[in-house]
Amino acid sequence: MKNKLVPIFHKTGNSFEGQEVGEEVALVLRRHPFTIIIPLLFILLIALLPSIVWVYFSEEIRARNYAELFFFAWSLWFLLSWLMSFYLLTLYSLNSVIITNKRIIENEQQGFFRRKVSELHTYRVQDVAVRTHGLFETLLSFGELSVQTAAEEREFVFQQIPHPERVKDAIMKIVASHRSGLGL
Amino acid sequence: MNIGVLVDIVAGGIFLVFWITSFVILYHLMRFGIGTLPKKAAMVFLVGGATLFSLAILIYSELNI
Repeated sequence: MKNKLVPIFHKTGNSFEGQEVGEEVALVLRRHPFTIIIPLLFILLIALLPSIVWVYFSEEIRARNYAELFFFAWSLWFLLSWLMSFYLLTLYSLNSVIITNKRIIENEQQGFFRRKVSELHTYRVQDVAVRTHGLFETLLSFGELSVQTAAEEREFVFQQIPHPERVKDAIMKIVASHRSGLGL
Repeated sequence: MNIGVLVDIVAGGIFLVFWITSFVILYHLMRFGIGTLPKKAAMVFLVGGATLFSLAILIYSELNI
């Protein structure tokens, strides 16, 4: 019953704007969650700043009869922190790489009204490289994935992708099946 | 300027910014989001935002300045 009522939250096709007929989504990639957890923790700390003010200055605030005003300001502070958190989460979830059986599409959301979409066809992929550097990237297995097409064209670089080796294998598999399908 | 009027103006401004930005966030998540993650995030954002807004309005109604 629940599944019938709210299918949007548990099962939606990975469809996207500009999807071609017969194009199937193989992978949707986002940056590793570690990259969003740090800024979110920072916002949480900022959101809790008024509690520190309250601990140290509560008596003075009460004495001046500003307690109600203080709590109201605190509630506004929470509202703004909530907005900031979800602004970052929105950018995080919209910055994605879609790998289909035909194309690799990179969506870069740099702000609410600044969006860049780049794509390359899988038959043009010549080389895929993975680079992991640093302690956290090694421990949490995320890194940089670069896809090279023809030499005169620019390289596609996707940053902080989780399990980049698996993604590289998946891309190479699609490229290989595409080439074998074309008889190359 | 009376402090009560100042609080009203600041609160009204923040409430307005909150709902306009909320609309933009929800629009982006629902319109451009791929898969279930953005839809879940939109749901959590809306429920949490409405709760926090109600709390702020409740405290605002209790203000006596």
